[in-house]
Amino acid sequence: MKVRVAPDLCCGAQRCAEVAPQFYKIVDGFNAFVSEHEVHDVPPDMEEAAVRGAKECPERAIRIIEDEA
Amino acid sequence: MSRYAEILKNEDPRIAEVFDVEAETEREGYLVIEDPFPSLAKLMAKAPVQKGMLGELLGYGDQGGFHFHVPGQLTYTAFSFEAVSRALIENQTFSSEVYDDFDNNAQLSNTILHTVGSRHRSMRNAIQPFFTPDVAESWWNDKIIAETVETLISKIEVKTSADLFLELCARMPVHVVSAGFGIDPDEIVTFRIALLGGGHREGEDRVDGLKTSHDILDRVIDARRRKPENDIISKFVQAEITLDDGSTRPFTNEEIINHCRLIVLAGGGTTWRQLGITLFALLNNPDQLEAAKADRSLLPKVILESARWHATDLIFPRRVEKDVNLAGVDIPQGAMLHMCLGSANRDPARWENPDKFDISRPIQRALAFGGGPHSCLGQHVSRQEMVVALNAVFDRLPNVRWDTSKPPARLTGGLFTRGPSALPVVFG
Repeated sequence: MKVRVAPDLCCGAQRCAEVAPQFYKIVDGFNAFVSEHEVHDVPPDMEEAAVRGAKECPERAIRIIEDEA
Repeated sequence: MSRYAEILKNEDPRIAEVFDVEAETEREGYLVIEDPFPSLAKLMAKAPVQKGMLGELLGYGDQGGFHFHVPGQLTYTAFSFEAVSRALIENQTFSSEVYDDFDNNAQLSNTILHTVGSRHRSMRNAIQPFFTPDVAESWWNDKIIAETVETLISKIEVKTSADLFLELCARMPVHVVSAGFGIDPDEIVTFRIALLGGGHREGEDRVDGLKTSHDILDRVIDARRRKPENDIISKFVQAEITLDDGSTRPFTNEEIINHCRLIVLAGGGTTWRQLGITLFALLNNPDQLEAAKADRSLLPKVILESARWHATDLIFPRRVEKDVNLAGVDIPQGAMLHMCLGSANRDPARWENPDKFDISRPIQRALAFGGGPHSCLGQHVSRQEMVVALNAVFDRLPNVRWDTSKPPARLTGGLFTRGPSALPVVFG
């Protein structure tokens, strides 16, 4: 699984980091996601947290990309 | 049919009185401005952040007539997208606690609107689960939005003309949010009037309003503490706030009451005007109306473009908590900041031809629903209401168009709480 964040849609609500702090981090003190890279690999034990954080995003800026079977 | 729908079928003469943008603006003591956007664009072109209150910079002097206007207080105004977005996100520096200064009766104190940092976060975390995108599209939609819109549109479709602002926009959101919370159907309009009377006005009106809204909510909360139902007040009663040390506590009655006031006021007070602005923009652009009608997957985009083009509330306040440089301007600790969403959402550095309502634009985040930790809690409920309402208008009012026998509709109001004067349409 990968997640893709659209940097331009991120509004800094920080909901992802609130509900899934083990995966989503606050960068630069405010930006609610990793700002350097748009696409991130999700370790298997973090998949549930990644999905939980994505569902919370008020701008739906975080997309889950499932691995191809 | 639920009792909520039965009540909604009745005419209520108070609706026309309460839901009148211009009258509401004047009643609250604020100036009516027909079209602030040309002046806002000129100001933004001068500098992204300027010293002065927004009303003052617009040339109305420093004696008030606008929300968040405090004569004599050192105030700066942020105009550009970048400056306003940063102020929204950096909430510890640009603090929401400024709202306490305007809430003379503490009717919204200790809510997610007024607090910052961990106090805000702990409450927002407890409330957010009732308002996620998924819950808006399932629980809110299935429990109340679909039925509300069906009830309203079936009253309208049997006629050949209507004022959609009054008959659809005004009645839907206050009903949806009040019903969602579990407020008695007979008391919805009374509750709304009490809330409006409670915040800003002086004298007996205000005290009566505060007491009425308090008593209505207190009764519901007590009943739900005894026997929870499937509504938001029951969810509040059962929710737990997790504190910094990991311990939990329930919401107090006072906290639930103030959050109900806040959310019913915000949810019932913005969505009706934003839906009105969306219909206004579509009726003025028949080609875009036809495009949206033909492809309903465009509706979420239509709503975001309407909110960008003309949000209902063009200004929000913050208090500056430490000396800071915002877009090249030094602002000292203690100053107030006016964040002008109206100009930020039409910033030519971000949007091409920004004054044009254009649903074919690429989606880019605008600031109509705010941003940062305080980004609009109810935005997905609001967007879902608007999607369902627009679908109903397209499906049930064939060939809907302006009623040219009536005075042309205008967008009006102050800098806060703007919306159409009316939406007179014919169909069939």
